[in-house]
Amino acid sequence: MKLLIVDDSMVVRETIERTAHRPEIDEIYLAENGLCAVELFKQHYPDLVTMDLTMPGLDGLDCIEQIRALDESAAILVVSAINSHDTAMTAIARGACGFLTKPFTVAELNEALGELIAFRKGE
Amino acid sequence: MNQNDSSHLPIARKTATLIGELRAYDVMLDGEVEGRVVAETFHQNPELPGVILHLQNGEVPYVGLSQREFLRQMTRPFGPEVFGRRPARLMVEESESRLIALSPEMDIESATAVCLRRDATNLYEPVLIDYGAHGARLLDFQTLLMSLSRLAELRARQMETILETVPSGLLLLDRNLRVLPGYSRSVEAMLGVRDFKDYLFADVLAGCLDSESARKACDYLQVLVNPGLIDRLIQSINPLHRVTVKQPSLTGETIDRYLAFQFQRIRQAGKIRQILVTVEDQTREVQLQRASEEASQRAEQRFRVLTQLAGADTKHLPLFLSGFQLFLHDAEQAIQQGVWGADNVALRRRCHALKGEAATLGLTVFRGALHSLEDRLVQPEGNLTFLVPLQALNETAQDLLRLGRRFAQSMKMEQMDEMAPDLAALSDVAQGAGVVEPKVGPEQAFRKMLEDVVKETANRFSKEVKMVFDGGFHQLKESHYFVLREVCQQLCRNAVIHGIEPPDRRLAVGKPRVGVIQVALRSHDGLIEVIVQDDGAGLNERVLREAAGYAADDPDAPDAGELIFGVGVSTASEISEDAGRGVGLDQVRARIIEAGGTIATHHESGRFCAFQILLPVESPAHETVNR
Repeated sequence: MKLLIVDDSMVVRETIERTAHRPEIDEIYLAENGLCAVELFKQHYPDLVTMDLTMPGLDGLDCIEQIRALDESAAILVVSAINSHDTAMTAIARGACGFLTKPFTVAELNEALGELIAFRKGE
Repeated sequence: MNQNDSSHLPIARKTATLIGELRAYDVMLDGEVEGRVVAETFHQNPELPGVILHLQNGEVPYVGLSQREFLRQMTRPFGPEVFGRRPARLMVEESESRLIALSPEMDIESATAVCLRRDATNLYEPVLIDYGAHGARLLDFQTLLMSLSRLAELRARQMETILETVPSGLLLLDRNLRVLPGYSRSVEAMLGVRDFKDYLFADVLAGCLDSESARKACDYLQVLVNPGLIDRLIQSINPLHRVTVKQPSLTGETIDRYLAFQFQRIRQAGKIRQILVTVEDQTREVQLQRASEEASQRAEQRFRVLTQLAGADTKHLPLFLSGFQLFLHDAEQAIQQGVWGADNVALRRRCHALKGEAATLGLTVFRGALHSLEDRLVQPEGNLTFLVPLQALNETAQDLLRLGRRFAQSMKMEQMDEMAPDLAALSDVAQGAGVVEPKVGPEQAFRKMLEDVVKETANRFSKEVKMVFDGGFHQLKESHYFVLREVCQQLCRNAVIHGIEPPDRRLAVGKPRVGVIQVALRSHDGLIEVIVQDDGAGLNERVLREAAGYAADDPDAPDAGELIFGVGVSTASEISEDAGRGVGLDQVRARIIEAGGTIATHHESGRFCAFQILLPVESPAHETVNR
């Protein structure tokens, strides 16, 4: 499977990348903003996406919408500090599959990635 | 004939759940017996579902021959003639199907399911329960069905009991988010809503949550039936993980319940069929959590008190704490006797004085508590709850002093030196606690205390002040010590706040930058004379007149030196912890008069203000020393 990690924080991107090295994931792409994420998505059509919401330029919510328009099957996990109910509902309406709230532990991230992979496989 | 009567089985008292526990028949015949023997057996025992035939050389040691199959073959043309004289095992071999053989450990539901998969012709055939080397038994299919029915009835009753008694809220929603029948009774109590079976759960919640929570709950319920979401990765956005539900109590008041909702989607064949909702009443946990937080705050305050006590001047601290304790006792009595507020000027004065001492000693926690009490001392009626924060402080201080004493008793001094300075200091304080006489003698203690008051107040008001002491007294009675300590402390504090000008202003009017407060102590002619003088701005006559209710230019108004002792007169524009309530010089004068002395003022605008106190060396007969 291919994973696209979208986050404007280098620390978060690298943390997710380190945790994402597992047998099911063959390729990992990193994007620091929404525009870059959409471009990478068009090139590689990853199966899994981890998406920050608050980013400069194209924000996470709009990015989810654009990715969903390109591919209905990608599993998109929102990894963000979800502090608004309405934002979460909007993310779902635009195509997010689940949420991992920042700050998270590596164990929580690992578990969430496992769930995301299983969901994408249709398990 | 043997029949395993279930009442003889060790587990027979409970409802059977395994087929081995059911009533079954073990009538066994040799497979070589003629069919007529079997016919005779069925004739004598018509209730038998069949017989078990023991095979000498067969693939299996036992086979079952049902009565139904036996009769089917015997009623065929020439059946009795053919089978009546041939070995009974041949009837089994002729049969189109064998009886199902199951383990005695198989549960009743599974066994029934297996049997129900048989074709219609064999549906009612008995079941062979295979005990291996221990033989076999025949179970009537009707017995199996009846036991299943009893089990289902028992399970339904058990479920009902569980739902009636389980403290957790349990309910199931269908795909349309309606409440299915059979939810736990506790949910009704938790939500304060009864009989909501078949209702939309969102409507049930709307009846007991505030509108915002109900809106979020409604959104989230829709999320739960969205198959495009991952079960475990939507739990973090559950808006009902803790919500407040307002309910009327038995006394008619509204009480808050804190509920935690969890949702679990139940899938069948990959589709969301139902949603299991669990509700926990976390009110007790929330209350405990709050109590814990309060306890934590108390502990923090105790720590602050410890730190402040340990850092305070060890010579004056015992004196302060004993005064504080006595004040609390008297305040409690005043509340109980209904002499509070305006009726109890002495109490207000003592509170004010103690507050000043607390400030001097750096005990800000005590100073804050006394300041709050001072506000309440002007209320017409007292309430014992006013004293609670002060009592807590007193208890903390006393506890810590006891701790300090134990340290002092159990440790040698050299060990104490190695300990944290705060604890060592606490031990010093504890050793001095309750001792009224300062170790250094009253006069030095007196001077030190005033210096501390002036220094601390000057720091807070950004003023620069120097203390000068003149003379000394040789015989100071304990009661005088307390009176003078209280009075001079107030006068010195006033001098810093109201008298001494800020450094810039002093320089502007040609005075030295640093102000001077001079305290002169003399004993002569049977009197103790104390003069407290500052080189500040003197008394502002206009302000004092207005504060006392006179016109600024009223020629009949008393002299400022007299007005300043008026009850409630304050020239401070704002109430602070130091000044502004008009509790001050009126009480100073009252204290001096009470001790049999006099106080007079000398002042010159812009130059100085002096207070002269005269106290008799011998106390008047009516004086009561209550310390």
